[in-house]
Amino acid sequence: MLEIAGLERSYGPRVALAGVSFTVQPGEIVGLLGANGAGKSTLLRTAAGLQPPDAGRVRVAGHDVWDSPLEARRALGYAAEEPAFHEELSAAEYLSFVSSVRALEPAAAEARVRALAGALDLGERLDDPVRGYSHGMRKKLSFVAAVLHRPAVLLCDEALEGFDAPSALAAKAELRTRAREGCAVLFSSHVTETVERLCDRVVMLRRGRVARELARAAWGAGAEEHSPLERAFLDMVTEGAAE
Amino acid sequence: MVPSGPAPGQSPCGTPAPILYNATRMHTTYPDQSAAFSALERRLAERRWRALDGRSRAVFAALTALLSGFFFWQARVPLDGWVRSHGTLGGAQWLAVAMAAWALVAGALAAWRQDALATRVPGSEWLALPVDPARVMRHLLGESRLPAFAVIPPALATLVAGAGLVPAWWLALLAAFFALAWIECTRLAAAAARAIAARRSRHAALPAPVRLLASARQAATAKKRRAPRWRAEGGWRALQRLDLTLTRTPGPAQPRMASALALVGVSLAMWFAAAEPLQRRALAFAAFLPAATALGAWAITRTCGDPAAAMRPLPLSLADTWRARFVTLAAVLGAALVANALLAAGLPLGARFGIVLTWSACGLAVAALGLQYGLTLHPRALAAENLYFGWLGVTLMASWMIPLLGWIVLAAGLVHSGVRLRRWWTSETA
Repeated sequence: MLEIAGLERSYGPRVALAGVSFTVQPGEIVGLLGANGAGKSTLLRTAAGLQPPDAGRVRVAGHDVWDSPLEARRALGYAAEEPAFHEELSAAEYLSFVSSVRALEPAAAEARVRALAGALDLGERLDDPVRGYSHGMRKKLSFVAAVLHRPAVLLCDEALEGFDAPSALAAKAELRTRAREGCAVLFSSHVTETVERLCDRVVMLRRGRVARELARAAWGAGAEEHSPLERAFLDMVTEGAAE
Repeated sequence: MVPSGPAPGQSPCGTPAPILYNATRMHTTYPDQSAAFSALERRLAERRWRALDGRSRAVFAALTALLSGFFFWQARVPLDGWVRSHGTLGGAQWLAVAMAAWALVAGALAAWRQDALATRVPGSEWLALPVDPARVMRHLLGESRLPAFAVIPPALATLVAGAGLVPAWWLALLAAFFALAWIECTRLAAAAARAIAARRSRHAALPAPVRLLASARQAATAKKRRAPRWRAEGGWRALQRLDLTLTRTPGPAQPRMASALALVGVSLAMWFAAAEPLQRRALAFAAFLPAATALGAWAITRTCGDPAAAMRPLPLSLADTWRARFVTLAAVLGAALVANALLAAGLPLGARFGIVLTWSACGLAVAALGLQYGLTLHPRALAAENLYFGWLGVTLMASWMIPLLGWIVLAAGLVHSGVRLRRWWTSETA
């Protein structure tokens, strides 16, 4: 479970977060919506331990991100809005390092990386240096690193931005699988259509405060996981694969 | 009516001709943008000044005062002897040579900075603006001059060393000469660096400034890397392996480790010099210390080079990141010390043990200083290097002024950087 309580953060005179509090339960995908500058990325970066808050607490699977950072980070996956990597390394080298640091079983980790990279159309570029990657490929790599260890809490900051349509579908399927296995997912996005179909609940931020929280039933989304257009596209991809 | 020739923008056969770059048209449509660039440069200067907190400004001021004082006395004593033996004119000539040397150092710094800017400049962003590329180059020249300003305080201290030894009007003339030489050396050196960088570009048909901007920040051809071996190992070991992989790969870490290893080689070669054993030991130690310094610079590059978004969410502790680098530093220095002790054939056994014990303390202290400043100033590699080299410079000067004072300064640096280490946990990386 992810617990955010009274989180405050300012950049000089500009207040980015002004006492944000909410929780994400295991198995729940919570969308984080807000205009530019509403505080979404600040909230996610602070929750991921990239920057300290001015006040408030973040608990990941029961561990405070700043008091017990290692325990919290073991349970955490974070897909960054602006991912950065060691440019000289290949994606496979970086992911094998992540697997080592997270003490994953090597053969299982390699198989999972191959499966995720294949689903995200990154499989053939795994051994290329990251320096030659496009923005979308970097986002995919960040996503793979975030979900590789099947985290208890997953933070996605505009995670699907820059993904091509088939990869976005595969990533959404992976997010739903993570949630079914008990992962608490906090998913920030500008694309309301994605949040509408993917998330169980939405937290809306305005000027660093929680302006509104809505459950899925409140916005009238059906049980369909895909929009009609997504469904048509998925059918086309499936037919293409069959041929 | 049949047209007598192809329409503008069309080849004689009627198909549109590719227009790569119309230099004439573009150059004639640029309005005067001096005011915009002046405002940009003023804001950049203000932002850089504000980026330094009060304590950093005090540290830089103290370092500048110490360095200036050092160069004042380093110049004053020999100049006094020179004036006594060669007269006032000879003293003025001595100062002119010194000023020229400082201007050359400024030029070298500007060239180094220009070379870095040529690859890191946001080329496509500049090219997207209706700005004359030549004006962008002038702006980059100003940027490349920034590190050359560091030469001015010691150069002025050298000049002031002539006060009372050389007539004041000579000093005024030499100050004017230095100002002119500084401007010209930095301009020419930056131009040379820019020309070399432009020559590396593939777009030979374009004018040099456009060529430079067009090729900046372009991704090199991606050559596949060997598939990694997936291992089960702890955090610090994985980080150490990552360091070694990055050091073997062309990138910022490689030249620092290569220079450290080359200096270790020089240190070992000193044992074959035609000199007394004690002189050979002094020469080997003189090369060993820069090797340790280069290792500290490598540690800064590696610690500051870890991207926050990729590394901070991982379960790596401060102890892991410190240990991964310190073990590598200790391994390289240890191997260098054992090799030195084995080659010190002319020295008694006790003296060889002494080499291992005393040199290892000194080498590890120097390298660990770089490591700790790198950790506490992550991701600001340049700031960490400035502080590291600045502190070592003060250590060196203290050693020359008062025997053993350098050790105290070095130990103080270790304590200072050690106290700062806890900042690593709350590093402001966003």
